[in-house]
Amino acid sequence: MNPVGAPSSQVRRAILALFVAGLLVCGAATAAPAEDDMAIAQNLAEMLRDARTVISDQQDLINDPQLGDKHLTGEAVLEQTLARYVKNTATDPKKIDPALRQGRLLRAMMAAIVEVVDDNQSTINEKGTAFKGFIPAVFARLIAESFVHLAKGEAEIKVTAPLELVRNRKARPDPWETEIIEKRLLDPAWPAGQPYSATVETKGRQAFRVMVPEYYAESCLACHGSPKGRMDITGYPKEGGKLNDLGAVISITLYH
Amino acid sequence: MIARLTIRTRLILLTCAGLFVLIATNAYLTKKLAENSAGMVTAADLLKSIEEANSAQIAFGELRYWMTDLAVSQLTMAERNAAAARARVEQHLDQLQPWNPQRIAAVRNELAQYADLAGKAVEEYTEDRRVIGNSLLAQARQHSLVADQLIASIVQELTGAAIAARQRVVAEAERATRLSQIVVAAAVVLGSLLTFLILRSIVLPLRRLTAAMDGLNAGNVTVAIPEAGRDEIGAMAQTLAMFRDTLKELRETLAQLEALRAVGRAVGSTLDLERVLSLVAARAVEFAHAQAGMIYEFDEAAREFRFHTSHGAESALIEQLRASPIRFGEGAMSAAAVAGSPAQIRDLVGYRKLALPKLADALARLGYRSLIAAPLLYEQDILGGLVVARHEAGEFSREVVSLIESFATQSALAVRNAKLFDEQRRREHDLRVAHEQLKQAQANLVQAEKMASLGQLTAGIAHEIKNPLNFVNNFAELSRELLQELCDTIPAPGADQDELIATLTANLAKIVEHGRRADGIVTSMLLHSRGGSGERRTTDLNALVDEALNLAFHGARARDKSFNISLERDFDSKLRPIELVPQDITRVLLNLFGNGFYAANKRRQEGTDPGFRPSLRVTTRDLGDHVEIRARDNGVGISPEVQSKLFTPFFTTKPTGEGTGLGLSISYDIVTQQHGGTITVDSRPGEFTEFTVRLPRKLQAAEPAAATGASA
Repeated sequence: MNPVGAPSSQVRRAILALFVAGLLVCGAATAAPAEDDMAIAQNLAEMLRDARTVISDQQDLINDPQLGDKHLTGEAVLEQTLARYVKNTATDPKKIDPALRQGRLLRAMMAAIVEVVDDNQSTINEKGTAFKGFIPAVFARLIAESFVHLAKGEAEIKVTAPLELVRNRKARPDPWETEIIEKRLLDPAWPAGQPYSATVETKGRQAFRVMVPEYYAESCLACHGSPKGRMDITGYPKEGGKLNDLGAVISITLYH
Repeated sequence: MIARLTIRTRLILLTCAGLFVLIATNAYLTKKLAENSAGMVTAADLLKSIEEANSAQIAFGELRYWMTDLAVSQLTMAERNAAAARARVEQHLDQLQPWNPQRIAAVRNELAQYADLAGKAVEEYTEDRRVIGNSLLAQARQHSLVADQLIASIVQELTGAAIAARQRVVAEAERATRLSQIVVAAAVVLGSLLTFLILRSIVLPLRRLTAAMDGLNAGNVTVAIPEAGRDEIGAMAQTLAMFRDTLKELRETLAQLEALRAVGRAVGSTLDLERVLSLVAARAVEFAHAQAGMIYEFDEAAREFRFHTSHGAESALIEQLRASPIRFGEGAMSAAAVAGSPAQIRDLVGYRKLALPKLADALARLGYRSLIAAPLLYEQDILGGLVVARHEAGEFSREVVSLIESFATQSALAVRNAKLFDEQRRREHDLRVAHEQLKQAQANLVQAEKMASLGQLTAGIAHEIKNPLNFVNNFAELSRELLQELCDTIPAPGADQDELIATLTANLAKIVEHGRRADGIVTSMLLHSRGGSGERRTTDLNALVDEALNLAFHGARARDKSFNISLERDFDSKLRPIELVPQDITRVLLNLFGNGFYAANKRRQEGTDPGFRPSLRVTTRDLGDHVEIRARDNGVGISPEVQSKLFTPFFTTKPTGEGTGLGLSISYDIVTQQHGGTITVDSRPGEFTEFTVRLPRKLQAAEPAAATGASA
């Protein structure tokens, strides 16, 4: 389940605009060198969301029990992701210099997308099973895990959430994330959609960390809405969330 | 023994016994229930511990599941569920802690090690270090098995303990149930027996009481009343007995009243004294529960009680009583009469030594032991006595005394009524006789009037006859004398002449004789019809008697030609003349002689004695100061009753028209009143009647008493 679900292009643009504005604000509040990191983090987050959107859009296909090979390969998903990415950012990540940190990390992200999709081809193409659990949230977590592996310690990305909303313990916020979520992002005064970023020591290293809030859209509430406790399609109890509640946080750590 | 208790006490005892059994049983069962409850609590605690242990085991299983799930799925939900399961395990272990802290500590230790290792394994899985995760999870699994075994052993141990506790409770309950059943059965048996005995002690007397009440309702006053116990039924029986006695007394009183009413009715409705007194004697015997009742009449003149009638008395006793009048002053009856109230003899055996020994002995021989005597009194007069005798010694009850007194009063009334009735009847008889006599007297008066008229007529006729008779006599005498002179004048009469002269002379002599006789008769008639002049003259009584005798004889002959009688004259030749009223004495003599002729002739006419010849002997005697005339006939005689009324005016035994009833009455007056003499009669019916007239030579005062007495 993707906390953001499958927002429309207008929504996504609005979110991006807010994100950018937030970055600007945040950047103004932090050190200047963080500007590149913020862009990198933004792009990584955007690509993650785009890939997640693709998978969200393909749920009917994925969950078609009649169809075996869906031809939804890693490359196919990446292609659709990049199409969205280019559309949303007006930049082609393949054209960014791989020597650059941004180029490396975006390529790591793209590789993670392909890897996750390809690793789950048997699941996606399984015939006879309707709901396969290969949902945007799982997909995003798997991309994040794969990205951490592929980034080789240069950066990490994680889709986390307020602790009570986290379904997979791998997505649990660490103490810093928990604090930011509770004290910042959940503060009613926090501007909606504005990321939080800071350079903090993480795992013994200095790192630029960005927390991008995501809010429940209408499509998210099918699994995370009311009534609270009722099982959703995955067999997990609904959280009782409401529209525009803070549903997830994309946490990006860029190590220096 | 039950019957000695009141019904209330019995019921209280029964209730107490039942309550005692109930309370005892209840107390015992309560104690057993308390013990069982404790056992049940123990069992429940054990069950709860088992439940806790089971729950702990289940929670532990859930913990293991969720930890495994967490390791695989990494879902926080599994983690939370595992945490919750862990908490539940701890909670259940907390509950089990008091049961066996050491065992629970061992479980906790194993649990903690499992949780620690499993948590570490999950962390390793989260970090995608599966090999280490598997290793840790395998270690955790060992601890989980131990913990599971420990919990299972706890469950088993608790289950065994619970089963043992339950079995103990069941066994105790069974023992209590058996004992309770035995107690209840014994209570039922004893209660039933006690109830039966108590019901029997109530129902049987009640049934007898009901039967007695039914008997009383049916009018049986002799019905047996159950013996009065100390209970309420006894009180009812006592009340019923009193009711029966009252009813009995009422009946007896009613019967006594009825008897008194019957006696009173008899007294008021009949004058049959025998019937009334017999009824009184019978009722007195009946209600005094005696055997004999006797009623005596008091003879005032003899001053003694005489047996009158009886009821129930033996014939020998009656004979003895009749033969032994009780003199006033003797015996209980006299005492009762003097006291004016009943007197009793409680024991004749002792009494017979005191008074009336013969009578008391006679009664005692017949089995009588006591008696009561009540006087028959009317105002102050003693009329008799009522005696009731019985075989039983002792005092008569007050009711019997009162009843006997009432019977005596009724008897006295009956006797009094009878006497009054007798007197009344006698008076009525006298009145009737007087009435008859009056009627007779009226008839005789009429007859006397007729006779008086006839007498006057006779006097007139006699006077008128006397003159022609004088002529007849005188001329007959004169004719005889002339015939004698004629014979003397005839010198030699022939035979025929002599015979004729002799015949004429004889005829003339007869004319003279009968003429004189007729003159005598007429003279007597004149004398008789002339009435008393009251002029006393010295008179030759013999001549007067003879003349009256002749006159009476001829008078009788004149009335009845067949009449004849032998007249005997026994005149005292030395009887000196006496001064008297000749006409009146002649009337007396005519009456006496006429009555003698009538009686003698009547006897002749009755013809009972064919050889009877009527006769009348008249005797005169000179007794010096008195002269005596006796006229004795051999006629039918006069009964004493008639003798007492002989000189009563208008009393006659002759048929109406033959006698006026005044003859002897006038004669009595003439002899006694006018001449101071006496006239008496002596008679024997069927043999003779003799009247004696005594006349004093000197007139004396009248002595009526001497004149009425009979000489016999």
